[in-house]
Amino acid sequence: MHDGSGRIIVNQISKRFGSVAAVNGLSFSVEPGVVTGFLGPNGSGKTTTLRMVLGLVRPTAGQALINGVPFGRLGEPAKVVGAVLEAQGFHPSRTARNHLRVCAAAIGVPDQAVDHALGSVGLAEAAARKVGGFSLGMKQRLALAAALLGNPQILVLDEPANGLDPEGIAWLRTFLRGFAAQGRSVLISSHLLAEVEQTVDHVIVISRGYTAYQGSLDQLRAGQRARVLVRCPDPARLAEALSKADVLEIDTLPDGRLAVTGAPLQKVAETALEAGVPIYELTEERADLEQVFLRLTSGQFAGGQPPFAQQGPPPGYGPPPGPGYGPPSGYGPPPGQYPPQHPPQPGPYGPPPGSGQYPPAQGGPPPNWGGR
Amino acid sequence: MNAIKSEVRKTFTTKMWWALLIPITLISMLANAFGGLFENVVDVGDIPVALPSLLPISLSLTLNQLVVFAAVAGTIAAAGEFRHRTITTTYLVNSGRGAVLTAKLLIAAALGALYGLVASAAGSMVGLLAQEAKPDAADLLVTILVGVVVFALWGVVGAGVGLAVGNQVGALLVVLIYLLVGEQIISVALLNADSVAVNELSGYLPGNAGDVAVVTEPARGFAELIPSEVAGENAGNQLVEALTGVTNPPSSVVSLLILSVWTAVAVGLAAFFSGRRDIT
Ligand SMILES: Nc1ncnc2c1ncn2[C@@H]1O[C@H](COP(=O)(O)OP(=O)(O)OP(=O)(O)O)[C@@H](O)[C@H]1O
Ligand SMILES: [Mg+2]
Repeated sequence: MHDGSGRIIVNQISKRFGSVAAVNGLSFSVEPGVVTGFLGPNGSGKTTTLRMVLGLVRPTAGQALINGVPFGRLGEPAKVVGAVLEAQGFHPSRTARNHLRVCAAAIGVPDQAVDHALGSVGLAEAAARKVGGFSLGMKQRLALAAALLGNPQILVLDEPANGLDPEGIAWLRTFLRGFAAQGRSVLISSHLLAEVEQTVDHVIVISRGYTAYQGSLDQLRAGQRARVLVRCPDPARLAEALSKADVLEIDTLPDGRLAVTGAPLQKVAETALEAGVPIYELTEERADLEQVFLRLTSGQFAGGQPPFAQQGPPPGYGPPPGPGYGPPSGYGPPPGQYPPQHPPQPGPYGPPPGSGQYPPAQGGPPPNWGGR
Repeated sequence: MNAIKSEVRKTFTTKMWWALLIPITLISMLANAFGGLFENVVDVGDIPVALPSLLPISLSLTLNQLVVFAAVAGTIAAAGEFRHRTITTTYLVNSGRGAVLTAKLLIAAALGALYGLVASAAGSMVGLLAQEAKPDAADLLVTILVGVVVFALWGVVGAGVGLAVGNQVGALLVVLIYLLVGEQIISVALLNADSVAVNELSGYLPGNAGDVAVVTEPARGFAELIPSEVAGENAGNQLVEALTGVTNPPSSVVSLLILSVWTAVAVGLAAFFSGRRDIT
């Protein structure tokens, strides 16, 4: 039998689908009492990994253990781990209550649990409706209700925010934090760090089936570099003064502002005063975690890059891929200029996001699941 | 057992089970009214002997036509989970794939038996009302009993194919093409061979085995009621041969065993493939 620890251990797990290597020797662990985020871009192997953890997909190599045993040996699995998986199906002509009654019978919990679960995900009113008429968000809620039926110790959620409204997302965040606070475990996947940033304590970042980062979110945040943006009438003179003061990472933004990296705000202000350059505007800008994430996972579609070492620095400090990051970038040193550091350092800034797909790096509250 | 209770709820919370009962009931009623029509056309007074009841034999033929519904019900009950992707949830909440497999096969057997019973009841009711000649109760009951067993076995075969193939459309195609076309073609090929031993192999095909099992007893009973000077020697066997197209058909019991072996093959394939399949 299982050890009741609430721990998930994934050990050197790999999966090939024919010629596609979906997961490559992935290792990580999920501890009770915290929410662990499982992050990676589309096609990086998140769903495949979670399905291997849940015994739905057989690994090509390695193993995944829940409470010390593979899923198939849990005995009554739904009483240990509840899961909401991507594109999980429902029979369209079965009602929500009947769907849960089917699950309750299999798990071996009384039917009262069904109405309780429906109520707790806010579907009590829709209980007698056929699932075929449900919205995506309602289906997500129903899947969550099914996952909770067995009162599990561990929750595994694959992109649960898909289709949820802001209220639902906020509710889910509170729910998951409360769940973990009871000493239970939560593993939640997403392709957007911003989406789970407010929810998770630990993150596992994967890219192309490899682990790109594993550790606490705070550690990842601490690695961020700030830069100072200066608007002044004579940028050239200020840049010269700064470089004399050993501040060398200076760039000019398209709007004429200087972007200074590697020096605190005060130092920039003092240098400007000494040089007699008036300052119209001085702001400090922190890299958004999303950019850190993008950099960790960049190269997924570039091809030919070696796998990242676990806990190692991200490769390359070029501009991140993706919409809104078009050229010219040129606001950072060339790749490889930074020595490798632990934890991984985000690269320099690309131009600010233009498409609005990524949260602005400056001002405003941190991006979260429901707030924007 | 939890898995069985869950499968029962699963089966009876969608329309499929009663939707298939409608054609079964209607066809069985229509087909068994024919004995009565036959009596009306033939002037009974012209025949020197009392005409025996046609009901057991017409019911057995009806059941053989309808058994495909049991196979289809089993297939849909099992493979529908792949179509609607509910198999993920099923495997997450049950205590193992083996439990799911067992429960699904049992439910398919029960569903098949139910269909066999309903078809028999509907056909018998109409037949008893429409026909002047009343059947021997034992003959009718044996026909129904064997029919229900064959329906249950075909339900299991359907579910087995569904779980082995893991795709509803694919599994339905396999079952329907085999039962409606494939077996006929194989039978014709076997019957055209010069060797009697090869001809006799047709009785070992699953569809034929089920047909022979169901038809044998009512056909023998029917033949016995006709004086041998009218019917000739060995009329029962000849009637079974004529009705099923099988050369030297094995007995009812042996035929049931043959169908059971085929059912076991389907179950084995289902266990092998459903235990290994990646659910992505
Ligand atoms: N059944 C399958 N057959 C073949 N290839 C598959 C199968 N399932 C997944 N893959 C491949 O495995 C890789 C990883 O897919 P996976 O669904 O695990 O990614 P993901 O991280 O969940 O992506 P997303 O963010 O889009 O959900 C992809 O290249 C995908 O094409
Ligand atoms: Mg996915």
